[in-house]
Amino acid sequence: MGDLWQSTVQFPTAVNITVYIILVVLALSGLYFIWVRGRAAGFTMRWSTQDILVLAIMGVLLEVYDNLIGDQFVTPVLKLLPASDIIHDFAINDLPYMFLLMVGIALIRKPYVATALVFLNFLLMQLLYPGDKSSVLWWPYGIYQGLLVDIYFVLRGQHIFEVANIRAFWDGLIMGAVRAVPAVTISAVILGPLLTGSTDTFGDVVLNGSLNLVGNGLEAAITAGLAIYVAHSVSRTSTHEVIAQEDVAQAAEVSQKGGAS
Amino acid sequence: MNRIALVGVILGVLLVADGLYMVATNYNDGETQLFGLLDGWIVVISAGVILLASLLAFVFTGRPAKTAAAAPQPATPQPATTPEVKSEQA
Repeated sequence: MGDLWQSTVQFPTAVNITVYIILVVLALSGLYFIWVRGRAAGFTMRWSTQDILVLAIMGVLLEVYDNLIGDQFVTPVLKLLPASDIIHDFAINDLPYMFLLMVGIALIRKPYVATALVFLNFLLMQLLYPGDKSSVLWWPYGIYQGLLVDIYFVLRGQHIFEVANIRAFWDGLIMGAVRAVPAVTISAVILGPLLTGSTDTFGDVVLNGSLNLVGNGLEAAITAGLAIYVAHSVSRTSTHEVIAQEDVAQAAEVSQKGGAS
Repeated sequence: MNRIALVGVILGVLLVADGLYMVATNYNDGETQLFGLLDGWIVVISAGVILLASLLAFVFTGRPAKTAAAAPQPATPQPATTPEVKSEQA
């Protein structure tokens, strides 16, 4: 067992390329599924100007936090703590990132929101920090961080993230977890060895994946309610169903008063 | 949309301040940046994108109001029960 834990994960190149192509096909299928399922669930598929502007603002904020603010203020503090490797695997420095992601999802609340936010963040990272990951071949990593979140989003239906209640906690937990895994595992097992020649041990892959799954999930879960409150306070259109219900109630009240007089 | 623009402007200004402070202190985390710029300039560029998006949000907030003002006004005043137009719904 110890040998397996310490063994390096590296498949032959032919296997990596085959799996890579399968992953791309699965990603495209997932994006198509989100479109079909989103329409069937009654989501408004057309993004408004406001949605696109919110996407731009939140995407840049995610990038700035991910590559700069977190590195400056949060990670150095975490490195001072005991067992900092485990803490880093738990992705505690991702807490503000997950909060921003939840705010973006709560503000826009349309299919493809998570993929768009995370992928824009990834694109900005590639542009502003040109390095070994600045390649189109790395795009599946950026897409898989949001793809499963969006699939869960459309499967849950139109009422997701509508109200800050216990359901929002569980939604956040699942969305945070699937944001981390399988993306980090794909990156470590397939993309890294294939595109940059970097390898990890089996133990690292398992530990990093499972702790990221739990850490990101919990971070998204505990910030989901706050994110919904923030979204409601910034934009009432993020609660369009709630507004519609209020309007129906007000119209019924007016008609009752009219009938009484 | 007005509130989104306002929040964007505030965040953008804060990021500009942070970026300029980082430039002033020559902060560099050691990563490779675009054109070899300091981290602070990357923050300032990012803040510029946010401020641009906020500016567009302000512009798009003002557009429906101008359109409404340009539309011909009815000869008789509207009844008091006319539903109020939600200006935030773009």
